Amino acid sequence: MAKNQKTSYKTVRGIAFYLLFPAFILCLIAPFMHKAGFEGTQYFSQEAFMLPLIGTGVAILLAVPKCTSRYAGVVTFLVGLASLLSFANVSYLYLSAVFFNGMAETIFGMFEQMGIHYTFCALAYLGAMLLGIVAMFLPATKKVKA
Amino acid sequence: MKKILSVISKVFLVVFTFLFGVINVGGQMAQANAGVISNFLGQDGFNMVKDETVGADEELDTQYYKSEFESVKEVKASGEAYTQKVMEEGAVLLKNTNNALPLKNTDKISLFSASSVEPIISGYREMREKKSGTTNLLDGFKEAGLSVNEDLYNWYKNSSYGRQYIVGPGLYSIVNINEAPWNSIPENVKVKRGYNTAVFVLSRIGGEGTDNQMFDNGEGEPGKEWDAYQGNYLALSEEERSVLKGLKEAKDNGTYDKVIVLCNFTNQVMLDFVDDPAYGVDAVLYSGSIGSKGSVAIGRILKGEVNPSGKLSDTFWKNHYLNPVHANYGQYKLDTSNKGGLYGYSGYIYVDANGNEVAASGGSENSYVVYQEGIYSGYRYTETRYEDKVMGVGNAGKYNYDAAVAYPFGYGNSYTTFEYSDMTAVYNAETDAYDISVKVTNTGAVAGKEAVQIFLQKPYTAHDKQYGVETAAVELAAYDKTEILAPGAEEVLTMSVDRRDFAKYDSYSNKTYILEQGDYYLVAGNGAHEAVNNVLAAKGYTTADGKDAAGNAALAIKVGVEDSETDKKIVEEDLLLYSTAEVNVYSETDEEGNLVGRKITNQFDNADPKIFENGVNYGENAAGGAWTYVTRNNWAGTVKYVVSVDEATGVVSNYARTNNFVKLMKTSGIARDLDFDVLREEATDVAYPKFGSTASAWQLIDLRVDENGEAIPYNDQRWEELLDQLTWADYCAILAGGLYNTPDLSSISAPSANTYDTDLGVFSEFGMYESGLATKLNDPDKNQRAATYVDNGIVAATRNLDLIYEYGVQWGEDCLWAGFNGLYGAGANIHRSPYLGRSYGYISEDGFLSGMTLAKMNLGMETKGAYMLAKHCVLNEQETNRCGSATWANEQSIREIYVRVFEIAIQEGSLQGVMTSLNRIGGLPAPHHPFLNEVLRYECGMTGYNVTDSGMSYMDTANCVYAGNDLPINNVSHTVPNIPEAGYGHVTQAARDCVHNVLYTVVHSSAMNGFSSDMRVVRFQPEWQYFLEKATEAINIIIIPVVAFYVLMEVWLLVKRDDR
Repeated sequence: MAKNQKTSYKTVRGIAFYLLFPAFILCLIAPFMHKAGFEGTQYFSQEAFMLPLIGTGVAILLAVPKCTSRYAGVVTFLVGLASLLSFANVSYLYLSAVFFNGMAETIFGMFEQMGIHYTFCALAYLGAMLLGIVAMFLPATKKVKA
Repeated sequence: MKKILSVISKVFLVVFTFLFGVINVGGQMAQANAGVISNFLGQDGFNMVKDETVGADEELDTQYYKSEFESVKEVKASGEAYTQKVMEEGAVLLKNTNNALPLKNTDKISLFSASSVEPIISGYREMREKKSGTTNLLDGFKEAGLSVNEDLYNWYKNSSYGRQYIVGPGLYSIVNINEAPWNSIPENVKVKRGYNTAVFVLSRIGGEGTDNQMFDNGEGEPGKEWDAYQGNYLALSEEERSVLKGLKEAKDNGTYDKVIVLCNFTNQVMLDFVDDPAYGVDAVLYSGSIGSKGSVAIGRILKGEVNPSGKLSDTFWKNHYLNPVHANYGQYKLDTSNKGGLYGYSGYIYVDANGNEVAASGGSENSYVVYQEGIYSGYRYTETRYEDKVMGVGNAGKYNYDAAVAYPFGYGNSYTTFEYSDMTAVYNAETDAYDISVKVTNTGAVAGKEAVQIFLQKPYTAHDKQYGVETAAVELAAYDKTEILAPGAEEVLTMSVDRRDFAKYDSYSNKTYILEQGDYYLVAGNGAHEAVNNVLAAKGYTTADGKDAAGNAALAIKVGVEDSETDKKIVEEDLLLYSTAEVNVYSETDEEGNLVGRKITNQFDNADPKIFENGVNYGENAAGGAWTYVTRNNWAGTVKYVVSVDEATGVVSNYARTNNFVKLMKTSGIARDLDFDVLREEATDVAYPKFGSTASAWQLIDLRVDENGEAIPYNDQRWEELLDQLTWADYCAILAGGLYNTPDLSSISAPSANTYDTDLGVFSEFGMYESGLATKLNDPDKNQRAATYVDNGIVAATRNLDLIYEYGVQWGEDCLWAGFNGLYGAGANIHRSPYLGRSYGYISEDGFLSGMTLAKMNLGMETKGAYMLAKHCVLNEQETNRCGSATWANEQSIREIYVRVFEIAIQEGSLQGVMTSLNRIGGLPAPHHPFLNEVLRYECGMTGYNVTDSGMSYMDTANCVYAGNDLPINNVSHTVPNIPEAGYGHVTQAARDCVHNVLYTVVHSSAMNGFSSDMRVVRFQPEWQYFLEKATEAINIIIIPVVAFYVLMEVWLLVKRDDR
């Protein structure tokens, strides 16, 4: 037996990589929901629309190459956070109008009051942010025996 | 180790980046809404500081508005006592047969219905926030000395029956009645020895954001199926009918002696059952929502300790399907694609020239409602068509008054009887009014009060018929109430009706008020129907002509219209044109400094599809012909109904909604109004006002009263000098927002004035604001809430103007103790339909009654330094699509009914301002409509400020300011444009007027308590802003090493990996 034979490994995707897929999808759909629900009103801005799209593009570019995919999680978290804050900043007064005269007593009632577009965007960005956080602490790649 | 450090670096990164983002972005949002947050936290943000360099009168008592009370306990007890007093005089006895009432000493009560344990005390928002502190029916009746079957009460309480929300509660709520059917009630609780009197509590709830339902909309889900009869929330449900039928059977077999129905609703349930022998109802008492102590009042009335004396503020319908308003009311269809959010159900949708719905582009501007009934809503419809039916004119058709009306407007019964006699009506040239006198004699056996109502009939002339000047049979014109009269006692009441009130508005021909020659009648009666019968008797009509009562001709005094030298009049044939220009002088002066008036003419042409763009609209060339407003010249040809119903019998042949609503085309003119922007379209070279003048140094307190203690008038020169002192930055500060307060201004030591949003008086905790007496005195009960007040319709039903004034004083006291200087309220819209969700907060279907009630309440409030901003101005008579939906109506109905409320409250009660409504008036958002200045200020003489309702994307500050809506409440786009930019002089001049209006209101409010000429307003940073700033500084510093730590760890890990 050759004592000096080396074991070869290959790098494969880790769980974090797969966790980011739904985050990317959410961040790509949410801006269009935002646009569909609020374009033409004061609750929409081009910055809030473009930020998640550009940010998600960057995150995808980082996620694809295995050498940089470990950074996609933190970028996804930052994109989710920034998108959520940007969306909130431009549309929080929508909530003040909707809830001005009272909130429903149940969560679902409140979601119904806010409407599908607002609810989807808020939950999507929040979800993307949380998925990014989880992905940060899990391996994006791992070495397995070839 | 490096893995641990790596994890720590990531955790730090997540936590501090999150905080960094939230604090910085959230901080920006908070700063933009600093006033709101300061208010919410009760941190005023300014201090009053004495300027020692200024001499002041040390003897001056600067507590300009004082309380009569020493503690929260006292003021709250007083408020609760008023709910009882008002209910005692406002509850209306509608029916009393078989000696049902008053109860005998031996009578004992069983309370039936699930609502008996959860009665309506207010609107559903108020009920949700005040879950305790009111006296329920059981305790109230016991306090009144009545015996109540507690076994039955507790059964209902422990059962699963009672109001059930299908959707909500909240801004958008739909409610199931969920009554316990008769057979579900155990025998041993519904029949209890000795309890011989059944009181069935009939309740319906309403509230902001949703109208009651008339049709099943498919909202029900398994377990919460819609249980209203034919989907109609304001009809008895099958279960309720079963209880009443069960009680009838119980009466027949001797278990019960009498059945009384307590109408505990403001949204009126159809009363088609009260005279139906199948139900055997002996007595009906109407209470509306009962507030804190209304239950005690009801108990005392049932017991006979109080003789009811209320008169209805609305027509009570037997059959809502016979009310023509409903053909054009509320929702049209369920819009499942847009449910929730702000818009919920669809209203009526504009059509194109082919009658097809115009595709919605999103938002509310696609929906509308047309007040096709014109002036003929409520009693103006029911009584006028009745009169024409008797007289055989106007194509009255198969109209059957008895099928439509259960109890007429103004009706109210008593435990005694009264006789009216010796009525006179004499013209007084000095006052330009008719002085009326009526003797009231108590001809019964029980002491009691009687409210005398005077109605006015105007002639319906050839001019009116030709030019569409509609004329109601009678209109309420005056009222007063006796003291308690013992049996046999009498009292003479004197009232007056201004000759000005004899005028009608001619929208299409003269476009102003007209006063016509002809026969007028001033008539007294127990309600509008009796008044009409009295007039008919005076005209010679009898029951043989179809009248349902003989009437009393002696109570209908015929008068003519006398020429008056004070008129500016033009006499044309049989017509006097009555211009009130000399009466409504306001704010304009000519070069000699003389006040000059503004001629009254049409201000709502843009809201009348018959005028706007020459009346071209859908159906003009269609085979069916264009729609018309309802006219008494052709009842049968113009009245529409919401379902297929037989006018003669009230029988509904098909409960499906008809297509009898008005279809409107979205014309270019409408589209223009929907998109109108004063900045874009009316830029002029109007000169800018003066800014930053140092010619004077007035402080706001200096403009409160003059050296004689008299209030300084609005148009005094000193106000111009003070406004000249202000800078553009001061304007922006004052007009920045009006959410629950007016901004303070330190340059003239103007304090902030706090306002409370309500329909029914204060119901917050007394300790809400630092400026309130409860907080200043550190009252131990400052966490107590104020009383829950009864619905405003009951207040009006008292017809006791002195009591209503005292009620207003009580509201003012609540404001002093809680720290409010004004109210966004009371409600001033019209009860156009009983399905209006917010009925409890509004007063009546009649503009005069509503206006007089508000006037007295406001005068009372003002004694305590509290101002009222009556709401919502104007044409907001439904909750459905209230955000942005266009209301279309003709000028006559707008002026004579809907604006009349505000007009009277301003002229008789010095109402300071209004909250404008969320709907559009025609295509213009209400806060953008010029009537705010043209009508409310220039015609009526209003001097205070107007505020928007919740700011919407279709409102903006520049258009609001230009029209006379002074403060945006929040969330309104476009700040007022910057002064250096030319072409905005017209808006900037308007902004100056707005600042004047705000300051004028504040200076005459309790916000000035404590101010003398040496006191200064000094802004300081509220605590929350200080902590926010420090937190922002801290996080902006901390984030740098946190990011650096993360980056370093990543680099280290990378290097270590490469080494391997």
